Amino acid sequence: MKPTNSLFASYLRFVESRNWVAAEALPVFSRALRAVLRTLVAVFAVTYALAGPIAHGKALGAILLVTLGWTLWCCVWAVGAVALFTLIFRLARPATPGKLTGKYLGAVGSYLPPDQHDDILAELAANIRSQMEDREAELGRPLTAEEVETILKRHGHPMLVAGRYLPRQHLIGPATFPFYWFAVKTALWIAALVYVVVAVSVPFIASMAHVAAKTAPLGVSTLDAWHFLGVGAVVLLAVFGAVTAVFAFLESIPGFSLAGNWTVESLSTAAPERGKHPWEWMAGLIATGLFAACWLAMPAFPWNLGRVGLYLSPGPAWPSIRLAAITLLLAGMVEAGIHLARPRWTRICTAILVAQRAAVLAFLGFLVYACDSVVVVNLARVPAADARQLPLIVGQCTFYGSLMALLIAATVDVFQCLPYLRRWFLRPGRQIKGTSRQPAS
Amino acid sequence: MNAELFENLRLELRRGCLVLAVLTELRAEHYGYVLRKSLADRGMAIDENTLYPLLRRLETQGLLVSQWREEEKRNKRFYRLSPEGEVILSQLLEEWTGINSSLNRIIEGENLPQPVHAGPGEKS
Repeated sequence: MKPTNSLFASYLRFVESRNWVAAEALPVFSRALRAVLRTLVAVFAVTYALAGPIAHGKALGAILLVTLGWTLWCCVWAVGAVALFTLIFRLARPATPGKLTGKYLGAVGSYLPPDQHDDILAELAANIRSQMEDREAELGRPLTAEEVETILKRHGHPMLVAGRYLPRQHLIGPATFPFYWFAVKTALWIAALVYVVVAVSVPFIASMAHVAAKTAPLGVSTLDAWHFLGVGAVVLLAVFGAVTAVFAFLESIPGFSLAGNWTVESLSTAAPERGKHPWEWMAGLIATGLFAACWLAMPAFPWNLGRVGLYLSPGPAWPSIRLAAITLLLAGMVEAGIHLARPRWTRICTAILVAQRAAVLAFLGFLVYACDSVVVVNLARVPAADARQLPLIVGQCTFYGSLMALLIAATVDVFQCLPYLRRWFLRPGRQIKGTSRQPAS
Repeated sequence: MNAELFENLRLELRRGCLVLAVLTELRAEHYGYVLRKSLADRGMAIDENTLYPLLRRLETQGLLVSQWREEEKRNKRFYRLSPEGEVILSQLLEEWTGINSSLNRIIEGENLPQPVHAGPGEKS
């Protein structure tokens, strides 16, 4: 019982040091908790005595399981008892003004830097005391606990109060933030690109190697999409964290400035934004028209695909995909035509563009969803050795290709939409009452 | 939204003025609580959570000196302007006077624009 007792005493000391249970309540708390734990031990012993013979043959597993359960049960009781006693004693014996101040200062002190801890707390305590004395002089009586609490609450949350004294109150400062944000965006784009290329090409190359070596099948399915997206999210998060950590470190170096040495010569230049020239719209119209004509003229799949056409045939989803592709291309032609004929119809062009972008995303999403039924392998013409692996490779290529296109298109769209959304959200806030009036002429 | 925007701009406008007010007030020795009351009485109310960290920062920068002393049977920390702080304060007051008069001219719409007094290293 000695080790149990010393463990119990350590637990009590811990509870006391954290001020979870009031000092005067500690003996009662100790006795009650000891009684509960003893009851639990007795219940455990009886249960084990009864269950032991039943669990014969699986004795070790049963003992471990019951012991683990019992330990957890004791922990729950220990934590629950603390909460219960704290609640009971708070209700039974409300806090005094002195205790409240001490508790508040203790909470502030736990967030302060050790070298300034005592000095700051002493000054803060003097200030609080002065405020309390002034209030008492006003009222002509001692303050109640509620009034003291009001004064303390006016000081603010202990973490915020202590935070004001910390030498550094930001991770990335305003002078570094533009560089940091640029680095984060660049790093995320590069990481996403590298990840997509690696994630798509590695399984593809591996599958080609399998076919060449006529070895085991690939076992690729659309469920891999979750793995692909999950790992991608972790990679991007890690890149974001690493860039943030580097900039936080740089920010912590005294006197460090990323804008320290620069010359006009060293500045990178970007072409100014401008609208498309009518010739560009004309070229786009012709190219889109030719492309649409190819899709329309395609009487049957495969069309002039050479040797590949011997092995592949259109799948069940192919007619829908062909129709959607032609519709999208025609919408692009309409947009280009309006730009050429009626360049002032900007709202209609924007509406067509938004609808077209949404349709493209839906189209690519459908390709990902229906990757197994876009094209099917003509098994009658495929050599028997490849009959098992070729459909998997075709499905995999369609899936990863469509997924990559979808991710890139969605990312581009999101980044292009952000400035418009930001402008739209901020528009009402930019007008301040009285500032929009024109001065009288 | 407008109220929040105004509050942000107001705090931004006051931030620099607070340093000037605190330094000016500490030409005479005060401890934190009395300093805060004195500033509030003169229309420059300042939150404790702003004042005390500001006093420490100014002391770290060498503009203030402090001393723990007993007064009315209580230990209190008294602050006052250091010699270096006095020099900086006179420069800041000069700057403030220049800004204030320029701003008044701008607000009153005078047609004789005069540059704000340029500080060291600042091109006018």
